[in-house]
Amino acid sequence: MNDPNHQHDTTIDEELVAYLDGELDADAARRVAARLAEDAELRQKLEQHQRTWDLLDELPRTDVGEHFTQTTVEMVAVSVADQVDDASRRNSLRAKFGWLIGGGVAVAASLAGYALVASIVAAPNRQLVEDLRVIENLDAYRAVEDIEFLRALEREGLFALEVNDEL
Amino acid sequence: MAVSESSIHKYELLDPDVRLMLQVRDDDAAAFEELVMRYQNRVIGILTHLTRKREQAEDLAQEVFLRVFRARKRYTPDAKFSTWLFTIANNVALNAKRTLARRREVNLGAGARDDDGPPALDQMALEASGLMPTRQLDKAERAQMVRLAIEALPERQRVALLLSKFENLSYVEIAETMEMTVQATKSLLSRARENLRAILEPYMRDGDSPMEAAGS
Repeated sequence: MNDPNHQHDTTIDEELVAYLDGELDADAARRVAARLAEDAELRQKLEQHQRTWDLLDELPRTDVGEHFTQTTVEMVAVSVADQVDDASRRNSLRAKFGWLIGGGVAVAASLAGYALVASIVAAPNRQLVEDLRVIENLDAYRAVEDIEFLRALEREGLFALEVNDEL
Repeated sequence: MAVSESSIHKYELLDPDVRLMLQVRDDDAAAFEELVMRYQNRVIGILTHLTRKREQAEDLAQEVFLRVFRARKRYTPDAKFSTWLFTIANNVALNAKRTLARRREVNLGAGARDDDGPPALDQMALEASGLMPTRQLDKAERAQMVRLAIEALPERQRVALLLSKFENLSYVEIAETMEMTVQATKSLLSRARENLRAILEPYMRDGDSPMEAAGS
């Protein structure tokens, strides 16, 4: 698989082409030059490479002229304009949906606000209901100065009866 | 990859096309037109060799310049302008080839003939030998022979060869353009030059077709 001769030839070919392309550093270029001086076959290969390279100059050069420039610039301008249109269309859609989203958020905020206010407003009423028993009997409680006496009445079930009657 | 400020400054100083592209980045339409004018023939030339179709090459060249314009705001001068441009051209050509290959797969499924692939070496030799009734080649025939020889090269060898010959890109620049190592570029170019020599040398020496030379 790894034929050392083949590897050697490949390396020499690469060095030779790089030498022609001026891509070798000074030391490597000197080594190739020395090798060329003593190897007629390699010199022949170098000349053939040079000839075929020069032959590429026979290819006709492309010349499309100003018309191509003009159509290209126009095409790019149209494409960019389309892009801008697309972007503004997207922005416009975003603006429309923005209203919808904004409206939705506003409604949700209103509902949340209403619920909050309602709960705040309802809170004192709830407190009143909870304290109803105390409020109703406030005069009696004020007349009794001994808390132990009240607790004794509670133990007797006096207040429970009243609550059950209310329920 | 991070690019140093000094490197950016170097390309800005040394490469006038980098300076033009920086003007394009700042939305200077005249600078863009100037760049198109400077590079259109070179881009179309390369793309013609890659696609083998002039009309398609012109369409792809327009695509290349469109991409340049669209990428202007992201442009950073971390290489010669031509290196950046031909990287885009190479990518556009590769994409076009992939699209064509996918279409061809579908068409071949329907029994279509493959007209767009690279010419086989024997076909190329036949065409070229038909151009040479005598051993003397006139300029047009030589050009046709060279064109056929280039078309016979594998694609990556062809790209590297064209960038080296016609764009004077260094190995480092070709490596950047083709996204490969410098050593791989060196090997690729060596193989390209060797193949080209093998194809063209018999013509130059004897006026023989490559197949005749191979058979002798």
